[in-house]
Amino acid sequence: MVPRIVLVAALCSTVLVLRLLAPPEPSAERDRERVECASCSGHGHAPAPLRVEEYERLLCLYGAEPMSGNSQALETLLFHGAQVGQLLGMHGAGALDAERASFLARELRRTAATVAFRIVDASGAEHVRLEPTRVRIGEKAHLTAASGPTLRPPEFSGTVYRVGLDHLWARF
Amino acid sequence: MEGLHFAAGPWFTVQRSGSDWQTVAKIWISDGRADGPADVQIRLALAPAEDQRKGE
Repeated sequence: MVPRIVLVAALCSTVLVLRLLAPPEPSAERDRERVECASCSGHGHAPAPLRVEEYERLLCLYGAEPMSGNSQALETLLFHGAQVGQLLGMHGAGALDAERASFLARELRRTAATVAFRIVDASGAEHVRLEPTRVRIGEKAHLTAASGPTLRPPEFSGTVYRVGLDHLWARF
Repeated sequence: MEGLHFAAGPWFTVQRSGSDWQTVAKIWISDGRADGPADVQIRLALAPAEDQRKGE
């Protein structure tokens, strides 16, 4: 007669051994993320979805505002640029005048930014430099900078988002 | 050094397109012979659209 506690202990240790022998398979997405970059977060920072009603409301507001950074509605439309491009294709520009519609469409085609990095010491000497490099807005980029012979070239990984007519947000 | 990696950040920045270098972190660097403080700096600029890049 085997005591119940011995049976439970044996069962638990068997399960533990099996888990150690066969760890759970990571999801394909997580696996791909690990291959791309071992150091950066997989969490996105994309803007929240823009509802059609809000898109139409912003178009109306933009129609009465200047074609500049002084237009809160234009800034918001560009913040949601990728979605606004799709909504523009599906629903059109409503009652927006041709000049403003053309300006918005032209700005929405600007889907890239340049990123430059440097590490500079107190004397102003540069130890690491990445020349301006074109990246797609909203897509994670992995950039390798040039460094001197005694420093390993660092990798900068992150994403750039457009947050207005003239402003960019980045996380690296 | 093979296989030795470290990570720093995340660093966040909001910049007006084309503005000057912005310091996102102050770090200590060493090349094995000399060491000291340094700044990690980033510059961002909005690129022209593909159809506006002619002549770049």
